[in-house]
Amino acid sequence: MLKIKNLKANIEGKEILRGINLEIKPGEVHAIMGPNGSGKSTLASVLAGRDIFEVTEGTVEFNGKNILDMSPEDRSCEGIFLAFQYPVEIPGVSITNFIKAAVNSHRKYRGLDPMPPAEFLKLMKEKKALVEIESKLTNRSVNTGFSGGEKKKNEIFQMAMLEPKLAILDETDSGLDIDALRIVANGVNALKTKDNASLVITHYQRLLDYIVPDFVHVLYNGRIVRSGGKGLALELEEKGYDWIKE
Amino acid sequence: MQNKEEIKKLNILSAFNNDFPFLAGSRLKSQAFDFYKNNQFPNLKDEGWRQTNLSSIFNTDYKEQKASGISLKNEFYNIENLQANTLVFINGFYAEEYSIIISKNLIVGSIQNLTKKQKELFNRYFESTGVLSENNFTALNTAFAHDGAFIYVDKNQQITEPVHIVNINSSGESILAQTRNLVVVERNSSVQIIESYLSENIKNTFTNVVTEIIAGENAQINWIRIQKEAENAKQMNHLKVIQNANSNFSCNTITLSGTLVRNNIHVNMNGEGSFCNLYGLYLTGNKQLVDNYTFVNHAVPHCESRQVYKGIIDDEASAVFFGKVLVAKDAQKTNANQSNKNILLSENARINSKPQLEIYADDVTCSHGSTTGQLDKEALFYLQSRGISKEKARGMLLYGFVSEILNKIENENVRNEVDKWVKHILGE
Ligand SMILES: Nc1ncnc2c1ncn2[C@@H]1O[C@H](COP(=O)(O)OP(=O)(O)OP(=O)(O)O)[C@@H](O)[C@H]1O
Ligand SMILES: [Mg+2]
Repeated sequence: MLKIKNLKANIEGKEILRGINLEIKPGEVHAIMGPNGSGKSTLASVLAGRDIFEVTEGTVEFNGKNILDMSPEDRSCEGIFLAFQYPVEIPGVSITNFIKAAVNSHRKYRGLDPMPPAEFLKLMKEKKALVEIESKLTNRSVNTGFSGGEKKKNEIFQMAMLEPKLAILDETDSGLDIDALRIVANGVNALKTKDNASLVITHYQRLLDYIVPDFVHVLYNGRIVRSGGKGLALELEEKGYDWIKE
Repeated sequence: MQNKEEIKKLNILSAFNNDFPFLAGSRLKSQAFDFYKNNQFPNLKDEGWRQTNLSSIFNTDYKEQKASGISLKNEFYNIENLQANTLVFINGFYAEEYSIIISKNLIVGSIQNLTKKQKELFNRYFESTGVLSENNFTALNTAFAHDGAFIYVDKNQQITEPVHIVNINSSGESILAQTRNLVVVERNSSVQIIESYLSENIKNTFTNVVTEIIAGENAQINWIRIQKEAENAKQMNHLKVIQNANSNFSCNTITLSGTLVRNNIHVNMNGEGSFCNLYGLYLTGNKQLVDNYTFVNHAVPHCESRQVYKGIIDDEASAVFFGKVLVAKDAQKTNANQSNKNILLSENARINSKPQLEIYADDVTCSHGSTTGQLDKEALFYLQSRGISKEKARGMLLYGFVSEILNKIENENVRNEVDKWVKHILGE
């Protein structure tokens, strides 16, 4: 599904990604761990198409298509979803309008008419229940004044609405209390099928207790320096990163 | 630079030999005319006009022109689903055939039509705000305007149907359109007034409007101005308000078009316990200049005023917000705040924002602030990353920015209509 080959990316002339190789197949869950500043969010942003990063080398194929030349919106419509580490506040734009625009953009991309309002409301209700977000929240402006946990739940709610093929979750667990963590993780698991995949960026094993990865990778200094099974995460939890940095 | 020479080129004196009928021979008329002769138009050296280049108004041979033979469709000026008393003025002249009065419990019509029947009322309030000597534009208007709306709400009347004052310019020549409005709302009464400016096939128009508003004790006035003239239209607008005790004046100025638009709003809070809300929205592009000047005079204690102006400025356009709040020495417990926020969409867009507080009392709560920024790139990416096209995302963000002002429009039908236009302009 996703094939990243020797991906290098800069920001302001500084190389952040220094040759990433990664392949993700349908049905798989991959976790990426690594010290602060190692380039995890950068990788996620580059995959989603953030243009402040300049890709200098390498290729990224998604379901056989080269996505590096695609706009962020087209990547989204192709099925890539990024749950942001720091979701942006957008005053004046209600979640309902925002998600309606997103859903209908996806439909348009597939040659479908906008979703009928009744169907849309039903879908919203269903997906809100999945991540247990308060009904009122969706009338509010996107992320504006939301608590840390509400912002993260809102990301998963959007994911549920858009049903991506590849979900990239960038520290979705940070800022969540124990109950919220369970709710969010259950939400992610409920959306899991044999055809979609996830890339979970996290610092903590506790998320991986819920969302069990097939592969764990360690990103350090712009490269994947180690890959393994779910045991690798436990090892990291125990030993920290020093032994990998050597 | 302007000087007397250039100002003469406005040529209004030769064009306007028709008297404002009810002022003919009156003291006010000669007073206005004297003021006009003895003073210059405001220029770049005058406080409050330093950012306002008026040169495009001058150097033109304006005519006055009664529009004849034009036919307007209702959809052109009506607001969808709005049941309103509608007064239509074309090029500054009352167009009775398009106007309609539905409310029974108020006096409403064109000044010319009402002046005989309501002479006493009219004389009691006309020029009671002293607007003629604000500057040469108001003097010019007082001396030569032909007509305008006269709205009188007697005490204890809640007017359910709003009054819609429609101003349309339509001419293939250079014209000066002047209307003069007088609105009096007596105690315990309320009314909603919509003022819209439109144009059709214009070449070069200059609209010079003056409105006086008197809010009686405990009166509620909700005012909405929608400026949606053609790209090349020029407009000078003066609104002067007197608020008596416990009155509420709320005004929303929406400027969507015009090459030069200046809105002066001058509110005298003369009665304790009054509220004044001034909201404004301007969407400017090309080489437009939109200039909002407000002056809120807290003359007495226990009043509250609030101003929120927001603008989006694109291309080589510029905008000015000059807001002044004056709190008199005895005006204790005044609560006043002002905020002006702008988004600049291009490198050549300009904003001059100057909220000002001048406070002589010591027990007050006052604040002011001004921010200017660009479109939030992270927010743009966030929306795009959900599949929303860049264009649509941009529109949504801009709309989100201005929605605060749109939401202040109390009348639902007007809000929906303005909403539609704003969305259209912003590509939302
Ligand atoms: N917009 C930016 N401008 C300049 N430098 C940036 C920018 N974004 C990221 N960087 C730099 O790139 C490097 C990698 O950052 P990134 O956010 O990808 O790290 P991370 O692995 O996600 O860290 P964390 O675990 O703290 O979230 C850091 O040195 C960071 O300072
Ligand atoms: Mg990060």
